[in-house]
Amino acid sequence: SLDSSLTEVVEDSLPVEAEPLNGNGYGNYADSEEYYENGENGNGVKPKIVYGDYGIPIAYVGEDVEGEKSYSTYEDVVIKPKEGFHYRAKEIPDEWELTFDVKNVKFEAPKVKNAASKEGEIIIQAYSSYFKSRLRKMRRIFRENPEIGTVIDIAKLSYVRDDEVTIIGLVNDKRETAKGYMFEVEDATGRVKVFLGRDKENASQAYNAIMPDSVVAFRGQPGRGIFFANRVFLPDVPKFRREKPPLEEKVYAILLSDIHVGSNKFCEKAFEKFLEWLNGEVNSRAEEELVSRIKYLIIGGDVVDGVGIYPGQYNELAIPDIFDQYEALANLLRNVPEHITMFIGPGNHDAARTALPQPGFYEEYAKPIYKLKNAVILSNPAVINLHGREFLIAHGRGIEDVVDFIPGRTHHKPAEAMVDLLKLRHLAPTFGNKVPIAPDPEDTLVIESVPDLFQAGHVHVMEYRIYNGVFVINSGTWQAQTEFQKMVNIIPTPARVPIIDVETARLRAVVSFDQFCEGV
Amino acid sequence: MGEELYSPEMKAYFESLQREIDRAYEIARKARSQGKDPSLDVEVPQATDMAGRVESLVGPPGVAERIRELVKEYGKELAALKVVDEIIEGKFGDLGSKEKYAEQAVRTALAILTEGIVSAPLEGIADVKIKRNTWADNSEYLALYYAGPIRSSGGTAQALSVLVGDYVRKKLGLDRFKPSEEHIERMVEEIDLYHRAVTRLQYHPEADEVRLAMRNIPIEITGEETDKVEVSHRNVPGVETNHLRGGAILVLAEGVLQKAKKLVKYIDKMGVEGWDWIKEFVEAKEKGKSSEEPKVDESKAEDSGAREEVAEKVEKGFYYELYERFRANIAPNKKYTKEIIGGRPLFAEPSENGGFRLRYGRSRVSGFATWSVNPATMLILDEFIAIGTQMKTERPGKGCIVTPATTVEGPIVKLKDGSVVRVDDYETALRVKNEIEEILYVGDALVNFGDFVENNQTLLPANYVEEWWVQELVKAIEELYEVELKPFSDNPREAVEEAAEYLEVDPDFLESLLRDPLRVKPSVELAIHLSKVLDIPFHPYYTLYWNTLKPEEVEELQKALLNAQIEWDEFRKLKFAKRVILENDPQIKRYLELLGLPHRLERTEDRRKVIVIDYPWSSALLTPLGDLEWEFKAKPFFTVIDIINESNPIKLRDRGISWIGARMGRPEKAKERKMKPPVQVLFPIGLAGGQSRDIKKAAEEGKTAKVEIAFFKCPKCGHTGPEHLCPVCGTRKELLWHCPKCNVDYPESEAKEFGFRCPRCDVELKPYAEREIKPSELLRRAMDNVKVYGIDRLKGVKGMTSGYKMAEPLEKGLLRVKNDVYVFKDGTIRFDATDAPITHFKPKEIGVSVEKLRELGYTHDFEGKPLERDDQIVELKVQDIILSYEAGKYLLKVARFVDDLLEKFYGLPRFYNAEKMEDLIGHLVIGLAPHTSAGIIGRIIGFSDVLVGYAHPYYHAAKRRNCDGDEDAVMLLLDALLNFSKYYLPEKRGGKMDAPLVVTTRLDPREVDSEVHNMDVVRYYPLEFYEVTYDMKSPKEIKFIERVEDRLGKPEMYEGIKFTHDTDDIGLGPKMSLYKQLGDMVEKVERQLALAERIRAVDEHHVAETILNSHLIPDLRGNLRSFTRQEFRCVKCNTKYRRPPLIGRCPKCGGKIVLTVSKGAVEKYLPTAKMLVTRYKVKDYTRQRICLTEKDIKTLFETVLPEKQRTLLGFSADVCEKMIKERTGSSNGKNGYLDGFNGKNGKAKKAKVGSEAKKEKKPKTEKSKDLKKEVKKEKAKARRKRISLDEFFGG
Repeated sequence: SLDSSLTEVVEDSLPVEAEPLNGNGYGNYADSEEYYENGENGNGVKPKIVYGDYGIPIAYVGEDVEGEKSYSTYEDVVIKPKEGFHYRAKEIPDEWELTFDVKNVKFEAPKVKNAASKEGEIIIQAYSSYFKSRLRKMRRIFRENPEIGTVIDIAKLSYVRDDEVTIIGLVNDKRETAKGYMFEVEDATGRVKVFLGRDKENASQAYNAIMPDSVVAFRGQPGRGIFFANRVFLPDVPKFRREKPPLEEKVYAILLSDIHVGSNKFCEKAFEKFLEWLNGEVNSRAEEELVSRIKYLIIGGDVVDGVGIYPGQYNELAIPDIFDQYEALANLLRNVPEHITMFIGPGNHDAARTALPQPGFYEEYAKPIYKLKNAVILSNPAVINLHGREFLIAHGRGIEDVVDFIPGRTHHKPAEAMVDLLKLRHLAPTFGNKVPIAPDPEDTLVIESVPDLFQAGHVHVMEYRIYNGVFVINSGTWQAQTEFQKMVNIIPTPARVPIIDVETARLRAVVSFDQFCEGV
Repeated sequence: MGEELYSPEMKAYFESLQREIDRAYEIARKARSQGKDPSLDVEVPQATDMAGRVESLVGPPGVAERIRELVKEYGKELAALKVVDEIIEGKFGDLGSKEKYAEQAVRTALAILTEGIVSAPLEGIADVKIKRNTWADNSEYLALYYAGPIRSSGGTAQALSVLVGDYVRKKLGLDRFKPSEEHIERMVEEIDLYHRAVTRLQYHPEADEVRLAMRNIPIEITGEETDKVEVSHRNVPGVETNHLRGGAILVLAEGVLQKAKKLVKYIDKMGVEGWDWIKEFVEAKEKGKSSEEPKVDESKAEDSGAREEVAEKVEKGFYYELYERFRANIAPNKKYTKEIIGGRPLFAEPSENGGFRLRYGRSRVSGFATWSVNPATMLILDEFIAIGTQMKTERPGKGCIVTPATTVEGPIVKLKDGSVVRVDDYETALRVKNEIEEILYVGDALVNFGDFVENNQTLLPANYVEEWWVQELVKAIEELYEVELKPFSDNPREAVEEAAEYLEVDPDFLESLLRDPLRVKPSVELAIHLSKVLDIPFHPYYTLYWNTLKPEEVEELQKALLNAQIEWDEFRKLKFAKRVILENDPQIKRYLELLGLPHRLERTEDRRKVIVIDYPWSSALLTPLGDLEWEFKAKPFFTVIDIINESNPIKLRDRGISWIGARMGRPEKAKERKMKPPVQVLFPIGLAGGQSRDIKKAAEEGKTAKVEIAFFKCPKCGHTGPEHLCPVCGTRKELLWHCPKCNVDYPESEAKEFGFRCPRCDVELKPYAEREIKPSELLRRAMDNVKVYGIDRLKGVKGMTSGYKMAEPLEKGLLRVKNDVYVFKDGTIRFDATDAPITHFKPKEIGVSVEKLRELGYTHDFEGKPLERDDQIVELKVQDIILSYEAGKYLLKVARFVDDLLEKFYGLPRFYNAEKMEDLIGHLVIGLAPHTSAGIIGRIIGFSDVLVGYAHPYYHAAKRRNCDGDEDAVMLLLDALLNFSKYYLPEKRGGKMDAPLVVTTRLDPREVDSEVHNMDVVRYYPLEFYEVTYDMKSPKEIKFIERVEDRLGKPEMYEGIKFTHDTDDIGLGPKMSLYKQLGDMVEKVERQLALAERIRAVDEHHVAETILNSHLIPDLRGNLRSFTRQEFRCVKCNTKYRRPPLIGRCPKCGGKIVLTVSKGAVEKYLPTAKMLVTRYKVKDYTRQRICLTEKDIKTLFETVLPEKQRTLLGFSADVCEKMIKERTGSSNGKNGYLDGFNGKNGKAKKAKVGSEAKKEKKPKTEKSKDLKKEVKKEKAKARRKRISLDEFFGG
């Protein structure tokens, strides 16, 4: 496996040998350092493979940090609202609420046998409860689907005869056979092999859409050691949504993400132009109307480029200092008119916990943005209620795994991947692939209630679509194509500003500033 | 052919080896024929040469004879193709299908090209197939499937295998491979991905190069997956995997493309058609290079043009000009400093003055990628270097191991009491070791000329040394007095006396000086005398590092000396200083330190401290300064030595021009090989033996084990079981073949009739089945057989990975337990050691008596004198080896095991009867390197108390190793012959590597790795050599130093090899690197940095930063990421799960589930990293990475393992908290303290540095403020850094 270089900590397993072992073991033979000298850096230390953006593997090798840099933190960017510009939004009362934020979740510490339990045991317990809580939450979601029928535990399947029953569980494994599809499904009571004939309704679509560890329901009959499914259900979102009462006044929200301040590819000029535009430097009456009614600005993570995020980053940073990156960001964002409320959440480049979920930014590093008067700091993920409409905001790392597991998905069409996540009602269903998941005892990445809008970023491509009444949008970036992206052939769409009509939770307009972005 | 190749002595030597070999084989045959082992024959065939090895390794049978004939007629490369012709023409039998012909041809040809040693022809080529261009015209083409082990054959052979493949293709009349765009882009992606995600390729081709190669290579280069890394170009037709194909990638990138130039030569030589594209490719590349180069040249020319203009006006000093050319031609190579591992110190920055001083030469134990240093250097470098420790080096090669040579200079150190000492011997080193404040000069590195040739490294200007001086002496004597003398040898007494008379010196002294100029040194007054009368440069021993100082500084020094108290003396009317006493001015003292001049501090009566320079160093200092009779005046474009040589009657040569940087690589190793977990018998026990696979435990507990194992049935009495011989009636049993479907067993004879298919189910029969065994019964019987009872444990294996799953007889395990030895996967017992070269030894060094040596055929010393004393130097015979004591002790146990085995298991007489280590002398071993499948016979002739395996460079080369840190194994010949079996080898890819599939009995230097052909074999390098090094020529232009290559094919290739530098003892020096003795990473890194702080040629801040960036941070970040993506594992059955099973236990066996990456693994290096960013001046960026990583780790566990809140009151010493406070603290107003720090990143400080250090041209990176000790350090460093080449030229 890729992680063979990891130090495997062998708890209460092999007895300790009196002498250290040579690296020539049976199992380890082929991997042992002496024999694959070239496979490492020649020091007996194997490079670690990690997955960079887009899930592209990079060997985590040493980097050069040479040379001093001089840079600006945009102290001089001071933009005042255009005199006489009329902001209709100022007169509309605020109406927002944080419906869900990870910071507000009270995690129950995992139950362990005794207080003196080892850390390892506690962590295993935490991960176990994480998946159990996922199953619980998903069962709740399935319950709303009238077609599901009688749900029974896998362990009780042997008591069932002939009746059609439903099992709900995490998918461990799936594969295609000559006649259909085989799954291994697990719930809290046991695991069972499930066979779904090729001829069954939606079989192949469902097969393709199911990611490892996602929760699905199978209706069918148990056989000898195997469950014959007639139907498969994804948690999904209901086909139709009840319409929400109209708003008295049009109110707009701007969706941004992946600003990457500090990167030498950050489109600073374009961002400044955008800020000027927010301050009333508009080109037409139509734009004036838009700007006038903007009341919210949501930023979905990677607000700065961070430090030490990927090997060799130093060379691609204009600001190689995390404090100054946030300082620079705050210096830019302080130019957002005060009546606009900003919601800012973290991403993988931010000074924030690396594993999902991300409760927020590290306050001590990102202090300048915490100090912005009109900013609200979000967790990743978070749900904001704007005038009665639910906006699900996530950074979107789960897209990486979708691209890995679901045929036909690419980084260039992130909205498709986001729909897949929505169907599975989870922001990062698969464990152990590319998305790092923290050992929290509760799964806060389940999309428990159906949002009106689902925003993500991460892949730097703006794209949107509507799925069963949910507006799904990836909000693009403010970073021009990096060397790395060039190499892996990722073409970002920087400096595009999607404007959302809060009432309908649909796109009202996209304003582009990419002509001010170098390299586009 | 044979006779003219060997002298009678060599012939006798090889014959005696062969007699011993035959004896061992005979015993082994007797034992094997009893039928207690998988095969009735010895399974290690002998081969005398390459052809024999090829036939044994890959076949076809009978090919060896043809290879010999063809090689004789056509040479190796062409012979490979001729063999292809003959195989395909069916001369070696009908192989069935075209594919089989192709496969055989490719394998045999590649084996010929790789000398039949490496396992690449077996393991590196997974398959050869004939496929169709279905996406094009559906024509047939040839596909070579490469696997990971192709790496072992090296780039050139990899490239050649493609050429051979194409030849085979044409021979079979197949069409070309016509790749689609998909195929091409897939390979482009794979090569790039491999480089990024798996291993940095030595040569990382551009996308267009890959495209060109893919379009033009007429066969398909493909292979099996080697790494679980997925590509994005999936499901390409004909490509079976969506993962990386490491073998194919290597062959294309590091084979065909990297070795394109070499390949062209072979294409011409072998006359393969259709490869014009590669010629064009090479030409285009060369052109590209040359079109680039002129640009560089132009700019250089401009540069030097500008200088020359100046030069027309001003005169330049000789050394000034030399340094200038040096700097223009040979840039410091920083590559080896890009990575520094925690606990493995940097000894010298690239080309830094004070680092390793280049000394050209080869000691008895160096050359072939091995450096010798003075053992004192090893000690003074805190014993981080022991004998055999690997270093990564700046040049000539990338790495080396280190051996001792007492005749090269050791370090020059400054002690805590302020004195400076030259440490040239071990005793002094031991004495001062703990008193060292600064290592001013690390000492000499003896690097042989051959390594420069091998690496095509431009020759660096030679530093002035005794071996050069003595030749100038000899030359001057000849020119002046017409007396011919020879250095490094005995001279006719008359000649010596005549010269001595002219020179007015003691003839005995002159004689010994000539004989051993490295040890015998004239007194300083005699040195002055010789320089005066012969007009030769001052003796190097008394020459100081004058050019480390700037002329202005020497001017200052001279002024200070004018006020010094000097005692004079006379020798033949020559004045010389006997003692100098100077005021203790720190500046002046520093100059003396930098000169490398030994001196000390003394308190005068009025309690002032003064600098005292004693004889002879007083004279070494004052003689070049004309005893202060002329005034030293700095002048532009002249170095100190230039100025001295202008004014002083006695001239100087620079002793410190060329410096080489190095850091520690891997530690030395000499250790028995154990598997993980250790195994004593290749017998499967499953889970019945518990976690330690203990068969004894399973037997005691009366368990039965269900394991996959081969069973045998007695044709007479019907007994079945894992033994080969029937325990009831003693008949050789028959293997039972098993039908996995209907569970029926068929004895081999029946199975054969059915074509090894089940007659009922038509399923292929398997040689093993899952069967129940009763360990208690089997063990009891085995114990009775060999009468071994009362063992503590007997470690088996969980399951067999071999194709047949035949178990070893338990008796072998019992006897191994009794003798405390362990077994390797193939049934042999191995001892691993770092390879170290040795060409000459002294009997006393290896603990063997002169009498015994004579018995072994050592009758004369290396100068041809009869061997009488144990301190004479003897040339080693090529297949003789000197083992580490550890190896001796272990092999002694192995010998007892083999004897027990012979006596108790096979009922044969004991063979070794070894009581003590010395009893093993004269016995044979097999040397075998990883990645190879051919061993070589060696003979033990002695032992040394070091952790390396000393053997002739040829011997290592015969295993395809050089000595830059490689290690490999020895096993006792009889152990291998008795116990090795192919039936034990794992079936997976690479299973046949590192197994003695064939053994070479007679070493032929022409058939070993050609790297050793570059080793030089002379007694000394001629004067001419030292002179031309100043021209910085390519080593290939030097034709007058004899190398192994020049002797190939003559008897001299075996004998009469010489060395340039002797050493007192090949075992003198630390035995074990400090690295291996230190505990955790914090301790390792602390010691490493303590050393860095001490070495003048190392910048400890740079070291700290590099350790963080190249070792600690990648580890921390990597583990952090892995933690959150980790697998989970069942403690009991070891099943792995992507996530913990919901039921909380292992669904398979109910075992407990544990993490595979623990919290501890994630945090492991955090304390070390924090220590480094606290104590050393590293970039803010690096410090922030550490602090963020710490925070990332903390927050990862915050919901599960809530930490007690630490009080944030008051001052915190934590570097991260301090940093945060500084950056975000209360004073965050516009003009607060932080604004100067914030975002300006040292600009303010730079200005400060600039104004503070007036003489500094290059602003030094600022130091961390927070450390008092750094301030102290800074002063010292500011001064010591002054003399870089940059500054030297006032750049």
